[in-house]
Amino acid sequence: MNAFEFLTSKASQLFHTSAFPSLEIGNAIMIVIGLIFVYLAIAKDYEPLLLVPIGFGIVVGNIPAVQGMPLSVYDEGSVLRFLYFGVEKGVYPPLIFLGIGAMTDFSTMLSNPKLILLGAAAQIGVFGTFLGALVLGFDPNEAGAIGIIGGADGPTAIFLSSRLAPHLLGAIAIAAYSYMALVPVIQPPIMKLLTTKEERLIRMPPSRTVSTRERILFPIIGFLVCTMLAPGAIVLIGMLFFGNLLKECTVTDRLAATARTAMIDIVTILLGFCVGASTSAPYFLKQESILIFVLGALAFSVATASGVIFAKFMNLFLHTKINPLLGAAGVSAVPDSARVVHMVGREADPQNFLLMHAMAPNVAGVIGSAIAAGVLWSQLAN
Amino acid sequence: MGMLVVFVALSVLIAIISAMPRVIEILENKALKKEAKTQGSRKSASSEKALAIAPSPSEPESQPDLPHELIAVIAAAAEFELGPVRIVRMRPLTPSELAWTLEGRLRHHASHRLQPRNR
Repeated sequence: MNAFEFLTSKASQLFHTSAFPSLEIGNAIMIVIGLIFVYLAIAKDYEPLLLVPIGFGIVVGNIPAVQGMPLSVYDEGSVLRFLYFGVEKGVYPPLIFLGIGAMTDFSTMLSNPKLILLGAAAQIGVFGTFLGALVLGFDPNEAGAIGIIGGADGPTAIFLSSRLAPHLLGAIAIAAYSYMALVPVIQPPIMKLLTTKEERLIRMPPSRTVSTRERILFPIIGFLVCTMLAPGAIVLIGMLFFGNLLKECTVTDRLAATARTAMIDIVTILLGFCVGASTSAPYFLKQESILIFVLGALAFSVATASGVIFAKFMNLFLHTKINPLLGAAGVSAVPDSARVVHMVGREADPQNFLLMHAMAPNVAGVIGSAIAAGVLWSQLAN
Repeated sequence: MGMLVVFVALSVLIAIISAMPRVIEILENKALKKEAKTQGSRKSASSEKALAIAPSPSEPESQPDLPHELIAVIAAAAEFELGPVRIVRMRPLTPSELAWTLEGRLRHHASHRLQPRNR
């Protein structure tokens, strides 16, 4: 073998151990999508804390693996597989809920409890889409996992799909997080379409002060009520209220601070990255993924619309009217949808500050979607 | 069925949350009455001492859940900043008032935000 042949064979061997020979058009498309996510996060500030890990995870997950080397989240024994364990077995979502609980201030909800109903009304999107998915031919477990996208709650969607339809996990997670990032784009047209200018001008009365004792008692009572009625929600609701109790009880400030900062950040990084890495083209680019995206958009739009319409319905009976825009915050994208309500309200009246009022249905939506997930899980698993 | 469970669970929460302040108030009133009774029996024994610890007319009007230490600190801070002051009333801000403060702060921060270079 002369030197030239030796070099050629080595070059060929090098080429075949690189990712290029197995790179398919699907992988290339997914890499571009991942880079678009990263671009939107960095250049346009679209939910950077979610889109950067997910986008980069998509790029990582679509670099084709070399045969015989366990690299991707689907290869037994790979490092990514160990990290993906937290997604697959539903470990990360409850930890995220713990952090959310330690961040959430329920006092606006406690001061105006009737707004909780808006958080319940928005779950119509979840159950409506569940029925729609059944009609389209998905089996009940898949339909339940797709319907929960309407809750606009990424961790809940991941948790439920890992329990009911693990094979759809990647598509459902990406759809849920994409719609969460697109809250400022999807919600305002629906809100404006369903309300009049006069309704958008309604000002909410100031909230009462909530005592520390009420704030301490609420997570305990809330947990007992919710889990007695929907035991399937015990993991998510339990962690949410446990985190909130850490925040409110005034004696565990260190634990609450860790839960709402370092811990939730670590879990968000792992969750976002692993979800992105699970979108490997052969597993992700399927017709059913497109259907899931369409149904997810429908679920999210119906959830927004049903919240607004329910607020208008409540106004028929209420002496002090509520601003129907608040209904849109019933989807549990915290705090994005509350922020969107505030912005749309201010477009009609720059002096109308709805942010704190919108937080009430928003956090009620988190509880509502966790209960909806628990109900779907307990009904469909049996 | 699922929708019904969500509505029932959240409606029960609404009922409990609405009742909670009243229940707490009743319990607090009971505790206060008990305390007043025990203080009343002590008062007869040492009425002069009780008069000495009674709040002076110039003490600021405040909500019962504001701790005295906090009132003292705020009063000291106000006096340090403004010179001699007479504080008449103190109350914590409601969430809606805090929203105004927050909104103002956000606007202020947004107006001073610098765009990073080379981006």
